[in-house]
Amino acid sequence: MSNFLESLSLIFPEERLHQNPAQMSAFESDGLTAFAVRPRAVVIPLDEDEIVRCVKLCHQHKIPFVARGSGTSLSGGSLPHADGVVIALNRMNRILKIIPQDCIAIVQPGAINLAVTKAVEEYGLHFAPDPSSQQVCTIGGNLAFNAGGAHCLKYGMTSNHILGMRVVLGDGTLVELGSHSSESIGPDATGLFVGSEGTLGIATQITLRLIPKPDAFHTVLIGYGSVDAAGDTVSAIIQAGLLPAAMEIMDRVSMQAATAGVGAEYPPGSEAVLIVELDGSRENVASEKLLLDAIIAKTPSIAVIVAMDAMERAKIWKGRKSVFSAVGRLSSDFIVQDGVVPRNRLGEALREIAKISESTGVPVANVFHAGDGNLHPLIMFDGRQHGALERAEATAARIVQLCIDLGGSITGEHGVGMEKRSFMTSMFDEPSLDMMRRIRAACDPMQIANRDKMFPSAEAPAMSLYGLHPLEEKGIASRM
Amino acid sequence: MSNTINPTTPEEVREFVASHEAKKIHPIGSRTKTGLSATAEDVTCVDMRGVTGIIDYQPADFTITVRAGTSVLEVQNCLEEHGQFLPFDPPMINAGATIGGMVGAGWNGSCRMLWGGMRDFILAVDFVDGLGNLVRAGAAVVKNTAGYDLPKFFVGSYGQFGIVTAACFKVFPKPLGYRTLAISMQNLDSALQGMSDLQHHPINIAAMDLDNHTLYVRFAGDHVALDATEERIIKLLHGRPAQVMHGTEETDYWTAQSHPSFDLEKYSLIKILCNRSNIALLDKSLHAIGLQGRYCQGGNSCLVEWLNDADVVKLNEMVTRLGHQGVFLLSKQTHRLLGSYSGREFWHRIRTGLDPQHKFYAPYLK
Repeated sequence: MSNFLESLSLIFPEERLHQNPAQMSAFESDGLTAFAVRPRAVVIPLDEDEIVRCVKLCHQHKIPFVARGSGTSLSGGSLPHADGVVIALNRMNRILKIIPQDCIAIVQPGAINLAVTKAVEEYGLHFAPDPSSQQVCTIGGNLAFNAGGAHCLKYGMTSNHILGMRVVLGDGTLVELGSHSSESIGPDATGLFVGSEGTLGIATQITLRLIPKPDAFHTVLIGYGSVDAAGDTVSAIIQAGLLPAAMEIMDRVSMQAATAGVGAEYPPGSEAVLIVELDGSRENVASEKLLLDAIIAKTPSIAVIVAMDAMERAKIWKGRKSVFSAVGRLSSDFIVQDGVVPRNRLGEALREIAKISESTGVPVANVFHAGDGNLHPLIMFDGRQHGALERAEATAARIVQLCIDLGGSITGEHGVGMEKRSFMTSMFDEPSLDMMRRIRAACDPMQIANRDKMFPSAEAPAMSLYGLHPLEEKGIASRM
Repeated sequence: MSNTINPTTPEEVREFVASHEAKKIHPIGSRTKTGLSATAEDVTCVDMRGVTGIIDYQPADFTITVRAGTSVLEVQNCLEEHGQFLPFDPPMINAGATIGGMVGAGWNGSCRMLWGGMRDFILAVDFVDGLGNLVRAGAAVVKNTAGYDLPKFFVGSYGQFGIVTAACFKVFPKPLGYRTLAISMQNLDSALQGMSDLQHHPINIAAMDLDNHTLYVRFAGDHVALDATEERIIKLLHGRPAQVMHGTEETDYWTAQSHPSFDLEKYSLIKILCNRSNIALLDKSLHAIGLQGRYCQGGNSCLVEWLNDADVVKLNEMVTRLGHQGVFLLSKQTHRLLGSYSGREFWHRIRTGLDPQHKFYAPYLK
């Protein structure tokens, strides 16, 4: 190790090579605050060459490394390895080139998601993936975990908006994947790399697809007497052939949290609210709006609130996006899950979650991307009480298993990371997992790139309590 | 001499791959993409057309899971009954294209622009890897990030990494209507500027092809939206006169684009990747060797009809020099990729993982 650290210091000057605990404390944990691990060192590269040299050195010495952006992963994806190095990419945050004519931007991995959209809005364009942490999360992190957001139903995930990249594989080999075209020739290597959770290597330069900003929105919040009634409306909208940009449902506890957190107001007597947003060209939104209004009019709604301007739209979204951090007002600790079920089994899933909550005695709030079946149950507990964490974890595990049993997935947008590794065996059979392991070994022979993540093998590091991430406490980021 | 086997179940495919050692294995469907399915070596073809059937279709979930040998037309017809469609406009479906061939070829039609390409809509694949294991990647839900996204990798994989036995796709509601404007532009520069201007507005553009200075813009919506959108497009193109196409004429025009027909004895169809910012140079270079391109999908690809006896080395040099990439989609000739592929090293790594014994025929990896 001393040889390794000595070699590392030849690549990185002292101010960009951290080895003492005080300097490294900010890198010990990420958005999954349950885990904290102190790495051997933290390095802060300024360019691709430094990353290549660092990864080659790690490969040579068999030292694990994890690339990290802003550390907002909710699955522990950027948690350090105790024997390893954190490669912090925050200083590689430049937007290298914008080619408006081709609707693309080329960025470094540390570029902030929202900064990209801000940089291209003068051309009438935007970067569509909008995870709740978009003010702080990086494109590299979005890429590694295939981040989602509220508008995935219509626009897809991060993967659908990345055209190409330069990548340093786990042995330090530099390869270029994809191109500037939205078409491709040959196997879609870009698609495979996105969402690989840092286990194949590090993206050092990323080509993003930009799309036109919508010039019209129609955002509606509808109160219902039950979650089922809200779910039925989602089905009616889908059956009518509409494709809203977002469809979100919040249950009563989630509404209470948003009210406590940001003073959001909801129709009295509502057990659930449904938020539907249409966006796109003014011509199409004008037509679709009529259809949507007609559908809603036939449902047993308690109240319908239509955002009349940008401010009212922002107000509706503020309440929705605040739920996770606001739950902190109702419960000192909580776990947020990210399972997916087929949309037509949402009602069944919610009823089962209620039963699980009742049987374990652990309260669960539900807020979810109803359009794509992505649940975000918030499992609330008081970590100071003996056994509360274990009961909450057992509740979370049953919910994840429920999603698998209903034909869904263990994760819709947060990734497997550290948190859901053990469930990979429920979702994939052994030959399928073996096949993925072989792919990993082919790209990273020493298996040092984000070691112990995604694959169901290693022991979890010591756990601390769940709770608000420091960024959530400051109201900068939230989970969704 | 190549031989062919005709499995009827995924298990038969698995058993064959696990036990076969004699020759390279090459999965085929109806071989409608002639340039991609031709073989230059003595191989064993696995004809997947016996492994058929729609396994599961959930209109309310926007998902459909289909065995590889199923015809795309059958899938399309099934989706149509529920007002849905595969939004990436798969070509050659009237010629018998299969789901497996569609995925392996990774060829999107001109009308992919509304929502994205095949890679954006494939959710899961079942496939037999080179070790003879029947494995799965992805999940049959519209949102999933668990495990490696191999479904995307299999799009355009040309059967070189495994045999897809089934695939699951996200599907979308079919637009209520379409209309196309054929706009004659002054010159290539003004056409490219026009394409760019349209792409900066949130118009429901389903296709935008440029053919010999005529811009064909297809857009979607109900009849009220179509009228308003037509007006907007003409305004954005500074009032240039446009010929309006609708109804059967309009549908037939785009169907013809996804079913190119010409004499394969004389010609091949080549696809070259491009961008609006480099089309001018590509166009000039194509003209210099007597070729003309049709710039499709908003200028993201170029289709070129190629005389079979012309100098392919010269073409490859030109494509490489300009930094483009190309492939023969329809051809009687045996295949090769045009241009340079810096990602080839990554493809080889994945092959090591999926097919360590190199059982599958992999001409594009050479």
